[in-house]
Amino acid sequence: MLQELKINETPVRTSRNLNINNIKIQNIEIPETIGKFENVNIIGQVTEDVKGSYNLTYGLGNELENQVQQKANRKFKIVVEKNKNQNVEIDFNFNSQNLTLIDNIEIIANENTESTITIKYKSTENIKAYHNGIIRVLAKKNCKLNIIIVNLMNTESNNFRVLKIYLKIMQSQLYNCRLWRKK
Amino acid sequence: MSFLNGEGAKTEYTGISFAGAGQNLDTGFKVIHNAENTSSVVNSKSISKNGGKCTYRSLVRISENAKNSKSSVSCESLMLDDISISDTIPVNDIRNDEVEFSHEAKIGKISDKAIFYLMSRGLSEEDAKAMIVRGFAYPISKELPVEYAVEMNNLINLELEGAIG
Repeated sequence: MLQELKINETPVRTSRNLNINNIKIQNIEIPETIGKFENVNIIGQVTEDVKGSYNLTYGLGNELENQVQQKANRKFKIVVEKNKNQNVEIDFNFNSQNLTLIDNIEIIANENTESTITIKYKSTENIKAYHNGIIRVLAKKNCKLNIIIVNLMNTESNNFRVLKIYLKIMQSQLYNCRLWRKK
Repeated sequence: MSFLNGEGAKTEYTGISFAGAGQNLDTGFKVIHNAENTSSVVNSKSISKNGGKCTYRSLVRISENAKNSKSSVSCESLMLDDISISDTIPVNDIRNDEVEFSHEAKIGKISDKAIFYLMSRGLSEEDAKAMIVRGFAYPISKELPVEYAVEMNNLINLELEGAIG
């Protein structure tokens, strides 16, 4: 159990009375034992060859970032090869057998490519799921990369996710939809 | 978060959040312009109802060496009742003079005038409100692949059924 987690600090402080400088989440149940997460549908070419840790700060706080680096139960690496176009879709479906997902996803878009990566998180049943994940993107010269993240997890679930993109002369589009599904 | 490190790099963020009862959706986007001729477009929308809370935080930093960079930030929030809350906290940190930067933010309740107009055209109050919400979300849904756009519209309809007013 994590007593208190401070996230999303504003880069510039505002009036304290507004209570919007950051958000505190209390008493979060963080699973100690991480089981397998098998219910994943993948369309397109991905590998699981994600190399260990990177000395980066993402904004989720040490505890959650360390959990991803050390205990990720799903790792995916998507490499868009030079001068090729490639689309990938990954659907994570939570159910009573697949309750905990800690994912570490790395996307590398090489030169002169065009690709769309869709990542969807969905809980289909009335369950209390847990998701914590990092998506790290490196985009190289003259590539066009669309990243679509759709969150359809139910309101009982905990969901922590962060995405970091490094761009070198390229175009990227990120669509982020956070909707909620009725129980 | 996007780092624009190469000359001419571009990024675009489009996001939508829908907060219902007991939900606090704290979302945002950061973009750091570190090279010349870079550009970014940030377009965020949020809808809150039944006491839901949406907070949007953004940071656009244009560094000293990112000459001739362009950035446009737009954040819009729609509250469907008197007990819902919406905050937007956009931070714009511009560190050189040769940039084009624009920012707009709009937070509001659903317009009575618009509802009245639609009702005068034969729609019920609920249908009128649902149509306004769908129109608000349309710029986002039209960018999504069709299967997700359909699912998003269905979810919005589901959430709005008998719930507003």
